[in-house]
Amino acid sequence: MGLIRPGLVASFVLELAFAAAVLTLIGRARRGQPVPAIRRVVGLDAIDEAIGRATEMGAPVHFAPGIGAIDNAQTLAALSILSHVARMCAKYDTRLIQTNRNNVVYSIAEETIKQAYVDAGKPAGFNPDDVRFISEDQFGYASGCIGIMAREKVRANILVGAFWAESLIFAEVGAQVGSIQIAGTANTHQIPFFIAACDYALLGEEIYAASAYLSREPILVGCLIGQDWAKMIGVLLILAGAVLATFGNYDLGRLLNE
Amino acid sequence: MRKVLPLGITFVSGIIVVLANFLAPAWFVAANREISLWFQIVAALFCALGVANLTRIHSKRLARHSEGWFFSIVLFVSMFGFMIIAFSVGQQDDLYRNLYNNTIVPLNATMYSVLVFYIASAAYRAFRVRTLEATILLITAAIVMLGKAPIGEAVFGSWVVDATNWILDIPNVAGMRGIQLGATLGGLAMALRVLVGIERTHFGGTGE
Repeated sequence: MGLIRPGLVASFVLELAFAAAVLTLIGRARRGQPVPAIRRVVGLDAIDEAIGRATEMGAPVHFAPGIGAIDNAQTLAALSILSHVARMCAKYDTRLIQTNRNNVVYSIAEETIKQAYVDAGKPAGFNPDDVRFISEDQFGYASGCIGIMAREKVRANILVGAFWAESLIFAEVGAQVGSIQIAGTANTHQIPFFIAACDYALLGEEIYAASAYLSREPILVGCLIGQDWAKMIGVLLILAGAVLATFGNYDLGRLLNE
Repeated sequence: MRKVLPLGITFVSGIIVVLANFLAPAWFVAANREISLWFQIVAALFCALGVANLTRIHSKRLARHSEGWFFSIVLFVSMFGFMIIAFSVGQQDDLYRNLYNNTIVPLNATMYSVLVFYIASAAYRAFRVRTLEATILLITAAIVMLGKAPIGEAVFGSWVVDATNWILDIPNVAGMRGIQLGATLGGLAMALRVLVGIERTHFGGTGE
């Protein structure tokens, strides 16, 4: 019996290569070597605009991190965006209502928001009652959130994380109450709903780029560039596979399945 | 120590979980199973925090007689009622199952079916012809809807079904796979950042 499970050798090697590329770029950034600029992400730029609008109207901001647990990478991405949103809300004294479906995510979100208020020099501005656990049930959570959105008349609705069938419920109610809406998920079947119902949509990988984009931290930007290198390699492999398969050669596909 | 210990635990347990997906040795698989079990136990402990949060917020609403305070009573009766019944007779008992099947299940079905109306209203807004992109979306959606409904083929012939299948199988799949490729690599990079301690938001701080 081999060390690596059959059928996963190529995946393992590619994953190691990906990790090496990302760590190399992080190392370059740590040494202070220049890292390329990253393109503008309109949806992330719009977060400050949405919070600004809610501030002008004296209305709260609502943030939902999706229904994924803490072991979901999308939830981690949502928490890094939440950190930025909370800092902005603390800075402008804007009320932030944050709703959760998962108990673990709720506890971490509460600590994240509390820390953001401390960092902004306004620890007294943090209201623990505005960080809410709603329900572990998918549609129970959705109905609780839309009730809050309607009752509290939120004017900025930020939905980032792992969403499933409840995505359109959130987005439509947000649109009906007149919120400016920014939504993002990597669940491809929910992206069309967010594009149709929200003002700005973050597509797939853009939610993972948020921490680098919002902080402009060179190490995080370096990580993004490594990710782009890997994407280029992926595209080249797809192109090579398509060309070879067109001429009846399936060796590349077989090699990747080993 | 407060920073190093959580980072160390994240790195060691994360590496084991990642490698257990690829490596065959039995002890690796057993270690992964043990870590998953610990995760479930820790996550279960956090349930109490959720219950405490709901109790705190709704007790205040009741005490202040805030708008809709009556619903807080409904919440307390449902939440603690279900808990008491589950702890006293178990989740497999007829009493618990009947309660669950006749309250939670129809409520979930109701919320899910509301989606039909939300899809219609979202489609109306998305299909308004304001830009070139919206026009393309409208034409594409019209073809797909006609191709999926029996009346489409009856009125316009089989080309509508062929066009629908082409739209769904070629441009739709190409777009979806492009997004999936980026999202998968983004997720991997996020996992790597967590493993090496660059991304620390999950520790409850601001990640700095």
